Amino acid sequence: MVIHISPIVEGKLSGLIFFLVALALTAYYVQNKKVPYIRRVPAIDAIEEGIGRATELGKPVIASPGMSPSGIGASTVAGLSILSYTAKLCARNDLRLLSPMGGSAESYTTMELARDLVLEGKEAAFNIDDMPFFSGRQFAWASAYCGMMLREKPATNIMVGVQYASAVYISEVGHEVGAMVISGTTYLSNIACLAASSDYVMIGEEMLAAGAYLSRDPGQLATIRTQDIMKMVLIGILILGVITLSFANEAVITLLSS
Amino acid sequence: MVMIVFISIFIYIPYFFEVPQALTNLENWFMDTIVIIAAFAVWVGFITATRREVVRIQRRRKGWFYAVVILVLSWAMVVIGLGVSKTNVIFEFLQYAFVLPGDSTIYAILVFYLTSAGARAFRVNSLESALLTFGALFVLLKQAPLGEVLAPWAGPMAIYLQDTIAMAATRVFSVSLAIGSVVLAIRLMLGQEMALVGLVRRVASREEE
Repeated sequence: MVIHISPIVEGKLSGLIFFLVALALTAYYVQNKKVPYIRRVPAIDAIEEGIGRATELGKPVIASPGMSPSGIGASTVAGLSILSYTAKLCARNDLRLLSPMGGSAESYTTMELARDLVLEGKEAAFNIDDMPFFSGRQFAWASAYCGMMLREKPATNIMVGVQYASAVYISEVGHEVGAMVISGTTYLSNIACLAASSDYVMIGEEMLAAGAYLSRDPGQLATIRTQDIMKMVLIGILILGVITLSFANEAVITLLSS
Repeated sequence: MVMIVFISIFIYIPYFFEVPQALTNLENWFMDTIVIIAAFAVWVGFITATRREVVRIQRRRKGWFYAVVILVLSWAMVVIGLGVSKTNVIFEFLQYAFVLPGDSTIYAILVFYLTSAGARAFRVNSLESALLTFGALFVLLKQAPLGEVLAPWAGPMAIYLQDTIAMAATRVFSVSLAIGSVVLAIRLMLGQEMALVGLVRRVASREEE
Protein backbone atom coordinates (compact mmCIF):
# COMPACT_ATOMS: atom_id res chain seq x y z
CA MET A 1 0.00 0.00 0.00
CA VAL A 2 1.34 3.44 -0.92
CA ILE A 3 0.01 6.71 0.45
CA HIS A 4 -0.92 9.05 -2.39
CA ILE A 5 -1.82 12.68 -1.75
CA SER A 6 -2.81 14.64 -4.80
CA PRO A 7 -1.20 16.67 -6.40
CA ILE A 8 2.04 15.06 -5.21
CA VAL A 9 3.35 12.47 -7.66
CA GLU A 10 2.82 8.91 -6.40
CA GLY A 11 5.95 7.59 -4.72
CA LYS A 12 7.54 11.03 -4.19
CA LEU A 13 5.87 12.11 -0.91
CA SER A 14 8.63 10.95 1.41
CA GLY A 15 11.27 12.48 -0.88
CA LEU A 16 9.41 15.79 -0.89
CA ILE A 17 9.15 15.82 2.91
CA PHE A 18 12.85 15.02 3.19
CA PHE A 19 13.74 17.78 0.73
CA LEU A 20 11.56 20.40 2.42
CA VAL A 21 12.93 19.55 5.87
CA ALA A 22 16.50 19.80 4.54
CA LEU A 23 15.66 23.12 2.83
CA ALA A 24 14.14 24.57 5.98
CA LEU A 25 17.05 23.46 8.15
CA THR A 26 19.66 24.75 5.71
CA ALA A 27 17.91 28.11 5.35
CA TYR A 28 17.65 28.37 9.16
CA TYR A 29 21.33 27.63 9.68
CA VAL A 30 22.38 30.04 6.92
CA GLN A 31 20.48 32.79 8.75
CA ASN A 32 21.53 31.68 12.22
CA LYS A 33 25.26 31.44 11.38
CA LYS A 34 25.97 29.66 14.65
CA VAL A 35 28.96 27.54 13.72
CA PRO A 36 28.75 24.01 15.15
CA TYR A 37 31.74 21.94 16.16
CA ILE A 38 33.17 20.48 12.96
CA ARG A 39 35.81 17.81 13.23
CA ARG A 40 38.95 18.27 11.22
CA VAL A 41 38.94 16.52 7.86
CA PRO A 42 42.53 15.34 7.27
CA ALA A 43 42.19 15.15 3.50
CA ILE A 44 40.97 18.74 3.17
CA ASP A 45 43.61 20.04 5.60
CA ALA A 46 46.21 18.14 3.58
CA ILE A 47 45.61 20.45 0.62
CA GLU A 48 47.48 23.23 2.41
CA GLU A 49 50.19 20.76 3.35
CA GLY A 50 50.44 19.71 -0.30
CA ILE A 51 50.72 23.30 -1.50
CA GLY A 52 53.41 23.91 1.12
CA ARG A 53 55.27 20.85 -0.09
CA ALA A 54 55.09 22.08 -3.68
CA THR A 55 56.38 25.49 -2.60
CA GLU A 56 59.38 23.97 -0.82
CA LEU A 57 60.21 21.63 -3.68
CA GLY A 58 59.62 24.26 -6.35
CA LYS A 59 57.39 21.90 -8.31
CA PRO A 60 53.95 22.50 -9.78
CA VAL A 61 50.62 21.33 -8.40
CA ILE A 62 48.22 19.34 -10.52
CA ALA A 63 44.54 19.57 -9.59
CA SER A 64 41.48 18.44 -11.44
CA PRO A 65 37.76 18.30 -10.68
CA GLY A 66 37.63 14.98 -12.50
CA MET A 67 35.73 14.29 -15.66
CA SER A 68 32.00 14.59 -16.09
CA PRO A 69 30.86 13.38 -19.47
CA SER A 70 27.24 14.21 -18.68
CA GLY A 71 27.45 17.71 -17.27
CA ILE A 72 27.87 19.26 -13.82
CA GLY A 73 26.83 17.11 -10.87
CA ALA A 74 27.33 17.28 -7.11
CA SER A 75 30.82 15.79 -7.41
CA THR A 76 31.88 18.32 -10.01
CA VAL A 77 30.63 21.23 -7.89
CA ALA A 78 32.58 19.85 -4.93
CA GLY A 79 35.64 19.36 -7.11
CA LEU A 80 35.37 22.93 -8.39
CA SER A 81 35.17 24.24 -4.79
CA ILE A 82 38.44 22.51 -4.01
CA LEU A 83 39.98 23.62 -7.30
CA SER A 84 38.99 27.19 -6.51
CA TYR A 85 40.70 26.96 -3.11
CA THR A 86 43.78 25.29 -4.58
CA ALA A 87 44.07 27.92 -7.32
CA LYS A 88 43.91 30.69 -4.72
CA LEU A 89 46.68 29.08 -2.64
CA CYS A 90 48.84 28.47 -5.71
CA ALA A 91 48.45 32.08 -6.83
CA ARG A 92 49.41 33.27 -3.35
CA ASN A 93 52.52 31.07 -3.32
CA ASP A 94 53.56 31.75 -6.95
CA LEU A 95 53.07 28.12 -7.82
CA ARG A 96 52.28 26.75 -11.24
CA LEU A 97 48.86 25.08 -11.30
CA LEU A 98 48.13 22.39 -13.87
CA SER A 99 44.44 21.72 -14.26
CA PRO A 100 43.60 19.14 -16.93
CA MET A 101 40.00 19.01 -18.01
CA GLY A 102 38.21 15.90 -19.05
CA GLY A 103 34.52 16.51 -19.34
CA SER A 104 31.94 18.76 -20.81
CA ALA A 105 30.58 21.25 -18.37
CA GLU A 106 33.67 21.96 -16.40
CA SER A 107 35.90 22.64 -19.37
CA TYR A 108 34.92 26.26 -19.65
CA THR A 109 34.11 26.70 -15.98
CA THR A 110 37.51 25.45 -14.88
CA MET A 111 39.28 27.82 -17.21
CA GLU A 112 37.20 30.80 -16.05
CA LEU A 113 37.62 29.83 -12.42
CA ALA A 114 41.36 29.45 -12.57
CA ARG A 115 41.79 32.56 -14.70
CA ASP A 116 39.64 34.69 -12.43
CA LEU A 117 41.48 33.58 -9.31
CA VAL A 118 44.91 34.00 -10.79
CA LEU A 119 44.05 37.38 -12.25
CA GLU A 120 43.23 38.63 -8.78
CA GLY A 121 46.87 39.32 -8.36
CA LYS A 122 49.05 37.30 -10.63
CA GLU A 123 48.19 37.97 -14.26
CA ALA A 124 51.46 36.61 -15.61
CA ALA A 125 50.90 33.29 -13.91
CA PHE A 126 47.86 32.42 -16.02
CA ASN A 127 48.74 29.99 -18.78
CA ILE A 128 45.95 28.43 -20.78
CA ASP A 129 48.28 25.61 -21.85
CA ASP A 130 48.33 24.49 -18.22
CA MET A 131 44.58 23.81 -18.44
CA PRO A 132 44.36 21.46 -21.42
CA PHE A 133 41.23 19.67 -22.45
CA PHE A 134 42.15 16.04 -22.87
CA SER A 135 39.10 13.93 -23.61
CA GLY A 136 35.61 13.02 -22.53
CA ARG A 137 36.53 9.33 -22.46
CA GLN A 138 37.86 8.22 -19.10
CA PHE A 139 40.85 6.16 -20.19
CA ALA A 140 41.99 8.65 -22.81
CA TRP A 141 41.73 11.37 -20.20
CA ALA A 142 43.53 9.28 -17.56
CA SER A 143 46.36 8.42 -19.98
CA ALA A 144 46.85 12.07 -20.89
CA TYR A 145 46.67 13.07 -17.19
CA CYS A 146 49.35 10.52 -16.32
CA GLY A 147 51.48 11.65 -19.25
CA MET A 148 51.27 15.20 -17.94
CA MET A 149 52.32 14.02 -14.47
CA LEU A 150 55.24 12.03 -15.83
CA ARG A 151 56.47 15.05 -17.82
CA GLU A 152 55.84 17.79 -15.25
CA LYS A 153 56.53 15.77 -12.05
CA PRO A 154 54.21 17.70 -9.73
CA ALA A 155 54.69 17.74 -5.98
CA THR A 156 50.98 17.35 -5.26
CA ASN A 157 48.14 15.71 -7.14
CA ILE A 158 44.67 16.80 -6.03
CA MET A 159 42.06 14.69 -7.79
CA VAL A 160 38.71 15.42 -6.19
CA GLY A 161 35.58 15.13 -8.27
CA VAL A 162 34.16 12.63 -10.69
CA GLN A 163 36.62 9.77 -10.78
CA TYR A 164 35.85 6.47 -12.43
CA ALA A 165 37.95 3.33 -12.77
CA SER A 166 40.93 5.29 -14.04
CA ALA A 167 41.39 6.99 -10.67
CA VAL A 168 43.66 4.22 -9.37
CA TYR A 169 45.78 4.54 -12.48
CA ILE A 170 46.20 8.27 -11.88
CA SER A 171 46.94 7.98 -8.17
CA GLU A 172 49.51 5.22 -8.70
CA VAL A 173 51.33 7.26 -11.34
CA GLY A 174 51.18 10.16 -8.90
CA HIS A 175 53.04 8.00 -6.38
CA GLU A 176 55.49 6.96 -9.06
CA VAL A 177 56.50 10.58 -9.70
CA GLY A 178 56.74 11.30 -5.97
CA ALA A 179 53.61 13.41 -5.66
CA MET A 180 51.39 13.62 -2.60
CA VAL A 181 48.00 12.32 -3.74
CA ILE A 182 44.79 13.74 -2.32
CA SER A 183 41.66 12.22 -3.77
CA GLY A 184 37.92 12.13 -3.34
CA THR A 185 35.02 10.71 -5.29
CA THR A 186 31.36 9.85 -4.91
CA TYR A 187 31.72 6.78 -7.14
CA LEU A 188 31.26 4.10 -4.47
CA SER A 189 33.25 1.35 -6.12
CA ASN A 190 36.28 3.60 -6.26
CA ILE A 191 36.40 4.80 -2.68
CA ALA A 192 38.07 1.63 -1.43
CA CYS A 193 40.60 1.65 -4.29
CA LEU A 194 41.45 5.30 -3.69
CA ALA A 195 41.73 4.71 0.06
CA ALA A 196 44.40 2.10 -0.72
CA SER A 197 46.26 4.10 -3.34
CA SER A 198 46.06 7.73 -2.16
CA ASP A 199 47.84 9.50 0.69
CA TYR A 200 44.61 11.24 1.71
CA VAL A 201 41.07 10.44 0.64
CA MET A 202 37.76 12.17 1.24
CA ILE A 203 35.14 9.61 2.13
CA GLY A 204 31.43 10.05 1.63
CA GLU A 205 30.05 13.51 2.19
CA GLU A 206 33.37 15.01 3.32
CA MET A 207 33.97 15.95 -0.30
CA LEU A 208 30.49 17.44 -0.71
CA ALA A 209 30.94 19.54 2.44
CA ALA A 210 34.42 20.67 1.37
CA GLY A 211 33.16 23.88 -0.22
CA ALA A 212 31.54 24.97 3.03
CA TYR A 213 34.49 23.72 5.12
CA LEU A 214 37.06 25.64 3.10
CA SER A 215 35.07 28.86 2.83
CA ARG A 216 35.15 29.30 6.66
CA ASP A 217 31.96 31.29 6.16
CA PRO A 218 29.75 30.86 9.28
CA GLY A 219 26.59 30.56 7.19
CA GLN A 220 28.01 27.78 5.04
CA LEU A 221 29.66 25.96 7.95
CA ALA A 222 26.37 25.95 9.82
CA THR A 223 24.69 24.12 6.92
CA ILE A 224 26.98 21.13 7.51
CA ARG A 225 24.90 20.50 10.60
CA THR A 226 21.89 19.89 8.31
CA GLN A 227 23.63 16.81 6.89
CA ASP A 228 24.23 15.42 10.36
CA ILE A 229 20.66 16.06 11.49
CA MET A 230 19.21 14.38 8.39
CA LYS A 231 21.52 11.40 8.96
CA MET A 232 20.32 11.09 12.55
CA VAL A 233 16.70 11.25 11.39
CA LEU A 234 17.32 8.52 8.81
CA ILE A 235 19.07 6.35 11.40
CA GLY A 236 16.06 6.79 13.66
CA ILE A 237 13.69 5.82 10.85
CA LEU A 238 15.92 2.83 10.05
CA ILE A 239 15.85 1.56 13.64
CA LEU A 240 12.10 2.15 13.85
CA GLY A 241 11.63 0.29 10.57
CA VAL A 242 13.65 -2.69 11.78
CA ILE A 243 11.65 -2.85 15.01
CA THR A 244 8.25 -2.50 13.35
CA LEU A 245 9.10 -5.00 10.62
CA SER A 246 10.18 -7.48 13.30
CA PHE A 247 6.58 -7.31 14.54
CA ALA A 248 5.20 -7.72 10.99
CA ASN A 249 4.17 -4.07 10.82
CA GLU A 250 4.86 -2.38 7.47
CA ALA A 251 3.99 1.18 8.48
CA VAL A 252 7.52 2.51 8.01
CA ILE A 253 7.91 0.74 4.67
CA THR A 254 4.56 2.20 3.52
CA LEU A 255 5.65 5.68 4.58
CA LEU A 256 9.04 5.44 2.85
CA SER A 257 7.50 3.96 -0.31
CA SER A 258 4.97 6.80 -0.58
CA MET B 1 21.58 33.41 -8.49
CA VAL B 2 18.03 34.42 -9.36
CA MET B 3 18.35 32.34 -12.52
CA ILE B 4 19.58 29.35 -10.51
CA VAL B 5 16.60 29.58 -8.14
CA PHE B 6 14.17 30.12 -11.05
CA ILE B 7 15.46 27.13 -13.01
CA SER B 8 15.64 24.96 -9.88
CA ILE B 9 11.99 25.68 -9.03
CA PHE B 10 10.86 24.72 -12.53
CA ILE B 11 12.83 21.48 -12.34
CA TYR B 12 11.84 20.47 -8.80
CA ILE B 13 8.10 21.26 -9.03
CA PRO B 14 7.29 18.95 -11.99
CA TYR B 15 9.41 16.24 -10.32
CA PHE B 16 7.39 16.24 -7.09
CA PHE B 17 3.97 17.52 -8.16
CA GLU B 18 1.46 16.64 -10.84
CA VAL B 19 1.55 19.76 -13.00
CA PRO B 20 0.09 20.83 -16.34
CA GLN B 21 1.87 19.51 -19.39
CA ALA B 22 3.23 23.00 -20.18
CA LEU B 23 5.35 22.96 -17.01
CA THR B 24 6.59 19.45 -17.75
CA ASN B 25 7.54 20.61 -21.25
CA LEU B 26 9.41 23.55 -19.70
CA GLU B 27 11.30 21.19 -17.39
CA ASN B 28 12.22 18.97 -20.37
CA TRP B 29 13.31 22.07 -22.29
CA PHE B 30 15.65 23.07 -19.43
CA MET B 31 17.13 19.55 -19.29
CA ASP B 32 17.65 19.55 -23.07
CA THR B 33 19.29 22.97 -22.84
CA ILE B 34 21.74 21.64 -20.25
CA VAL B 35 22.72 18.82 -22.59
CA ILE B 36 23.18 21.25 -25.50
CA ILE B 37 25.31 23.62 -23.40
CA ALA B 38 27.41 20.66 -22.25
CA ALA B 39 27.90 19.60 -25.87
CA PHE B 40 29.06 23.10 -26.83
CA ALA B 41 31.37 23.12 -23.82
CA VAL B 42 33.01 20.00 -25.22
CA TRP B 43 33.57 21.93 -28.46
CA VAL B 44 35.23 24.75 -26.50
CA GLY B 45 37.57 22.23 -24.91
CA PHE B 46 38.24 20.48 -28.21
CA ILE B 47 39.10 23.72 -30.00
CA THR B 48 41.37 24.73 -27.10
CA ALA B 49 43.09 21.37 -27.36
CA THR B 50 43.49 21.80 -31.14
CA ARG B 51 45.06 25.23 -30.66
CA ARG B 52 47.45 23.81 -28.06
CA GLU B 53 48.58 20.96 -30.28
CA VAL B 54 49.00 23.27 -33.34
CA VAL B 55 51.24 25.58 -31.30
CA ARG B 56 53.23 22.59 -30.15
CA ILE B 57 53.76 21.47 -33.76
CA GLN B 58 54.67 24.98 -34.93
CA ARG B 59 57.28 25.41 -32.19
CA ARG B 60 58.53 21.83 -32.55
CA ARG B 61 58.22 21.25 -28.82
CA LYS B 62 59.16 17.88 -27.32
CA GLY B 63 56.65 15.25 -28.41
CA TRP B 64 55.30 17.32 -31.35
CA PHE B 65 54.91 14.14 -33.43
CA TYR B 66 52.25 12.89 -31.03
CA ALA B 67 50.44 16.20 -31.47
CA VAL B 68 50.21 15.43 -35.21
CA VAL B 69 48.76 12.00 -34.44
CA ILE B 70 46.21 13.47 -32.01
CA LEU B 71 45.09 16.16 -34.44
CA VAL B 72 44.80 13.82 -37.42
CA LEU B 73 42.85 11.13 -35.58
CA SER B 74 40.55 13.41 -33.63
CA TRP B 75 39.67 15.66 -36.58
CA ALA B 76 39.23 12.66 -38.84
CA MET B 77 36.61 11.28 -36.47
CA VAL B 78 34.88 14.67 -36.17
CA VAL B 79 34.82 15.28 -39.93
CA ILE B 80 33.72 11.77 -40.84
CA GLY B 81 31.22 11.53 -38.02
CA LEU B 82 29.61 14.89 -38.77
CA GLY B 83 30.13 14.87 -42.52
CA VAL B 84 29.05 11.35 -43.35
CA SER B 85 27.60 9.43 -40.41
CA LYS B 86 28.59 7.49 -37.32
CA THR B 87 27.67 4.25 -39.06
CA ASN B 88 30.12 4.95 -41.89
CA VAL B 89 32.69 2.20 -42.49
CA ILE B 90 35.68 4.50 -41.99
CA PHE B 91 34.29 5.94 -38.74
CA GLU B 92 33.60 2.46 -37.41
CA PHE B 93 37.08 1.37 -38.43
CA LEU B 94 38.64 4.27 -36.51
CA GLN B 95 36.44 3.46 -33.54
CA TYR B 96 37.20 -0.25 -33.48
CA ALA B 97 40.87 -0.01 -34.53
CA PHE B 98 41.99 2.89 -32.31
CA VAL B 99 39.50 4.04 -29.70
CA LEU B 100 38.19 0.79 -28.26
CA PRO B 101 41.53 -1.08 -28.21
CA GLY B 102 43.10 1.95 -26.52
CA ASP B 103 40.40 1.92 -23.84
CA SER B 104 40.77 -1.84 -23.37
CA THR B 105 44.56 -1.60 -23.08
CA ILE B 106 44.45 1.03 -20.36
CA TYR B 107 41.71 -0.88 -18.57
CA ALA B 108 43.89 -4.00 -18.61
CA ILE B 109 46.89 -2.07 -17.26
CA LEU B 110 44.77 -1.15 -14.24
CA VAL B 111 45.26 -4.61 -12.75
CA PHE B 112 48.98 -3.97 -12.33
CA TYR B 113 48.37 -0.62 -10.66
CA LEU B 114 45.72 -2.16 -8.40
CA THR B 115 48.23 -4.86 -7.45
CA SER B 116 50.88 -2.31 -6.56
CA ALA B 117 48.35 -0.28 -4.58
CA GLY B 118 47.21 -3.42 -2.77
CA ALA B 119 50.78 -4.48 -2.00
CA ARG B 120 51.33 -1.07 -0.42
CA ALA B 121 48.05 -0.93 1.46
CA PHE B 122 47.57 -4.47 2.72
CA ARG B 123 50.14 -4.64 5.50
CA VAL B 124 49.22 -6.78 8.48
CA ASN B 125 50.38 -4.73 11.45
CA SER B 126 47.18 -4.58 13.51
CA LEU B 127 43.96 -6.53 14.06
CA GLU B 128 41.99 -4.26 11.72
CA SER B 129 44.54 -4.55 8.91
CA ALA B 130 44.64 -8.34 9.39
CA LEU B 131 40.83 -8.52 9.07
CA LEU B 132 41.01 -6.34 5.95
CA THR B 133 43.77 -8.42 4.36
CA PHE B 134 42.19 -11.80 5.00
CA GLY B 135 38.78 -10.54 3.86
CA ALA B 136 40.38 -9.30 0.64
CA LEU B 137 42.13 -12.66 0.23
CA PHE B 138 38.86 -14.58 0.48
CA VAL B 139 37.18 -12.32 -2.10
CA LEU B 140 40.20 -12.60 -4.41
CA LEU B 141 40.17 -16.40 -4.21
CA LYS B 142 36.46 -16.49 -4.95
CA GLN B 143 36.70 -14.10 -7.93
CA ALA B 144 39.54 -15.95 -9.69
CA PRO B 145 38.47 -19.25 -11.37
CA LEU B 146 41.74 -20.89 -10.27
CA GLY B 147 41.12 -19.68 -6.73
CA GLU B 148 37.69 -21.32 -6.72
CA VAL B 149 39.29 -24.62 -7.78
CA LEU B 150 42.13 -24.47 -5.26
CA ALA B 151 40.11 -23.08 -2.33
CA PRO B 152 36.39 -23.81 -2.72
CA TRP B 153 35.87 -23.00 0.99
CA ALA B 154 36.66 -19.33 0.30
CA GLY B 155 33.53 -18.87 -1.84
CA PRO B 156 30.82 -18.91 0.85
CA MET B 157 32.90 -16.69 3.14
CA ALA B 158 33.53 -14.21 0.32
CA ILE B 159 29.84 -14.15 -0.60
CA TYR B 160 28.92 -13.49 3.04
CA LEU B 161 31.45 -10.65 3.27
CA GLN B 162 30.26 -9.08 0.02
CA ASP B 163 26.52 -9.48 0.56
CA THR B 164 26.33 -8.45 4.22
CA ILE B 165 29.27 -6.47 5.59
CA ALA B 166 30.43 -4.81 2.36
CA MET B 167 26.84 -4.17 1.27
CA ALA B 168 26.05 -2.49 4.60
CA ALA B 169 29.11 -0.24 4.32
CA THR B 170 28.30 0.61 0.70
CA ARG B 171 24.77 1.58 1.64
CA VAL B 172 26.08 3.79 4.44
CA PHE B 173 28.13 5.69 1.87
CA SER B 174 25.18 5.80 -0.54
CA VAL B 175 22.91 7.36 2.08
CA SER B 176 25.50 9.87 3.27
CA LEU B 177 26.36 10.85 -0.31
CA ALA B 178 22.68 11.29 -1.14
CA ILE B 179 22.16 13.54 1.88
CA GLY B 180 25.32 15.48 1.08
CA SER B 181 24.20 15.97 -2.53
CA VAL B 182 20.79 17.29 -1.44
CA VAL B 183 22.32 19.74 1.03
CA LEU B 184 24.91 20.84 -1.55
CA ALA B 185 22.13 21.48 -4.08
CA ILE B 186 20.21 23.51 -1.49
CA ARG B 187 23.34 25.52 -0.65
CA LEU B 188 23.77 26.23 -4.35
CA MET B 189 20.15 27.35 -4.65
CA LEU B 190 20.53 29.64 -1.65
CA GLY B 191 23.65 31.19 -3.18
CA GLN B 192 25.99 29.83 -0.53
CA GLU B 193 28.26 27.63 -2.66
CA MET B 194 30.96 30.07 -3.59
CA ALA B 195 32.76 27.95 -6.16
CA LEU B 196 30.16 28.69 -8.80
CA VAL B 197 27.99 31.41 -7.33
CA GLY B 198 30.96 33.28 -5.90
CA LEU B 199 32.39 33.50 -9.38
CA VAL B 200 29.27 35.34 -10.48
CA ARG B 201 29.43 37.65 -7.49
CA ARG B 202 33.08 38.44 -8.18
CA VAL B 203 32.34 39.36 -11.79
CA ALA B 204 29.34 41.44 -10.74
CA SER B 205 31.32 43.37 -8.13
CA ARG B 206 34.10 44.06 -10.62
CA GLU B 207 31.55 45.55 -13.03
CA GLU B 208 30.29 47.79 -10.24
CA GLU B 209 33.82 49.05 -9.70
